[in-house]
Amino acid sequence: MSELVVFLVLTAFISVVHVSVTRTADRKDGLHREARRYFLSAAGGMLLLGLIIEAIAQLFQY
Amino acid sequence: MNKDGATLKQQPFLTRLIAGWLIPGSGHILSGRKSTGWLLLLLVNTLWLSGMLLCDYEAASRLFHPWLFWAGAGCGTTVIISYVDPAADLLLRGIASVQEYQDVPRWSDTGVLLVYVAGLLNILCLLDLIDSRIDPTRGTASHDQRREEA
Repeated sequence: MSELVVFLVLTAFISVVHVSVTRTADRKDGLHREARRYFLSAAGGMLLLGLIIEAIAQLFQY
Repeated sequence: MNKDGATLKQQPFLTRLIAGWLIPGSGHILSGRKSTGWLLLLLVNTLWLSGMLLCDYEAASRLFHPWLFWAGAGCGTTVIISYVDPAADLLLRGIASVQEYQDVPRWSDTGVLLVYVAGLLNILCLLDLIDSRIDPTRGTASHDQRREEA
């Protein structure tokens, strides 16, 4: 659980920094909204991928 | 822009780049992009500092991480600390290392990861500084600041 928290915090930091240095001409939403959207995409995608890999690993165990 | 409305005098580009390398976020502050600069300063330095404390400065040691160290070199202070190398005492050699290895802190690897991610993020920030310098469509620092705050 603690490693999950570290992962989420790290992804949040990366999201905010990435959105901050993205070219401003392309930004339509505010920083908060765009960073939140990026965070949900990145963290959600990686968690989903992790769950799929875990499920496949469990299948091969039996 | 200062209170009189005159354009803020910017430091030379190389100064801003080196400042941004040494202290992440300072390059953006010196470029006039204060809100972005303070945000980057807070986030990247928090990552770097917490990582260094968790790993007992192991991330700054080329003895421990001869190749990954260069990812962390995106933050200048990692390179400076590597010359002092406070983690050199942690390096274990010989038969004693088998018994003492169990004492490695649990969060040591996580700390190393945080430092190297901070280094890579700072490279991204430096590239943004360079991009704002070479891309004519980015305009002046005050123009960028207004767009960011919009």
